[in-house]
Amino acid sequence: MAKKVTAIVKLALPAGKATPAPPVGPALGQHGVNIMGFCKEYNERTKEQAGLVIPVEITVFEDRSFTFILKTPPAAVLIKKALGIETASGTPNKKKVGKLTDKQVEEIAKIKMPDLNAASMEAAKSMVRGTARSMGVEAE
Amino acid sequence: MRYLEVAIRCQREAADAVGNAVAELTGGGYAVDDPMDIIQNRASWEITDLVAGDPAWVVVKGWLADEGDVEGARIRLEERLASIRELGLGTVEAPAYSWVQEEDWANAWKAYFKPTRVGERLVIIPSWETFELQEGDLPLHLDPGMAFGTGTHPTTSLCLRRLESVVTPGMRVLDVGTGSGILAIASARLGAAPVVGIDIDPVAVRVAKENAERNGVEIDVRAGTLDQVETDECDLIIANIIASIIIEILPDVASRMKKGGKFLASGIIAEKKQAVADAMTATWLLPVEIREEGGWVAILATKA
Repeated sequence: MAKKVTAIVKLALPAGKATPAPPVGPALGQHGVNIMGFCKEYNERTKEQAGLVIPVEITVFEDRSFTFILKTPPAAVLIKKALGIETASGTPNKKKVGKLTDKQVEEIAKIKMPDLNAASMEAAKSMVRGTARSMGVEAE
Repeated sequence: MRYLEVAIRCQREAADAVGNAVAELTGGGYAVDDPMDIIQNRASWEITDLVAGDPAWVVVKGWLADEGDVEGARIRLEERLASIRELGLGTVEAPAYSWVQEEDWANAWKAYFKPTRVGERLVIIPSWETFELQEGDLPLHLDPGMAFGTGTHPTTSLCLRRLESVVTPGMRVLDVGTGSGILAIASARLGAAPVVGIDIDPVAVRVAKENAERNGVEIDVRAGTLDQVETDECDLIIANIIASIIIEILPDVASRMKKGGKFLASGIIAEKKQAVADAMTATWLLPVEIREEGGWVAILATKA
């Protein structure tokens, strides 16, 4: 049908656990979107990936109907998963919480490639290493 | 309950790190205002009013519940941001803070949807509303959701009003790009049978089936494009899509229609009115009525 877009909203949410509380409520409420309808659909589509943060891009149309697509998890989430850690270092310059091998960096870069604006695999790897450093994670 | 909204403008390279810092602080998710979302979607959707900012920058937003040590959490966040800056991941601006009051977000959106009379007989009624029907009224029970067609958009209401006068009992109807199924359901309510709805979006196919069931009407909803659909010749074909797609499907529309059958096309912006009308005439679908509302046009044509 004729679809005129009034807003595009990107949220990073815990898979299978979206609720009307922030960030969903304040981000989507202002656009008059059926929030429970969104949460139900998002949770259904991400339930297999519980424990990860799965970003979602929601397109809101002029009649307040909507559609969404799921994106790849943020690099920070993939780094934490690869290392089996819960949180990043609060003082990344001083306290290190783990180390990624070059192979792990490459695997994360491969997953992230579709969503990054990186021109090459090397550029994507460099972005992953940068995010790792900000979390107190060393990267080869 | 209220929430401290934290908005941090940063260069794209730092977005993941900033988002992670916010998520760990709030224990929930975060939102990202990203101009690339608008730029990348321009080709897919009609985006006329949204302005994309500088794609090198994004704004990460998080919401911290006003419980426990909010000030301590704020200080920890600023320390994390300082670390991200030191590592040279890109510029991270100072956070902007504001308080937002908790609302009934789960239900607030319903205020936008009330029972709506469209035309003489059709009435769209959301599930949480009651409406006293008058004699001859035809209810359409629909909730807005993941498929276009809530009835509030001019492209849809233009079609609904035309259907009231065009549909006669027993008409064979095909709705192309059925979305929520609203036009197919309205046709069935007006007596059309059989009614087929097609859509390329599997979510729309599912939603249209659910909506048909809820309204107690029989609609054969199928996934696919018009050229893939096998059907007997129709009395009426409806397409509320966009001008370029309507022009593209005209030969398939004509080949699936009885002589003297009708084609109701909507979703056409006023600037494309003539182009669609000319293309229709070229395929012997002769425009007999053109209606306009809020910059949108619906054209009714008859097969010569």
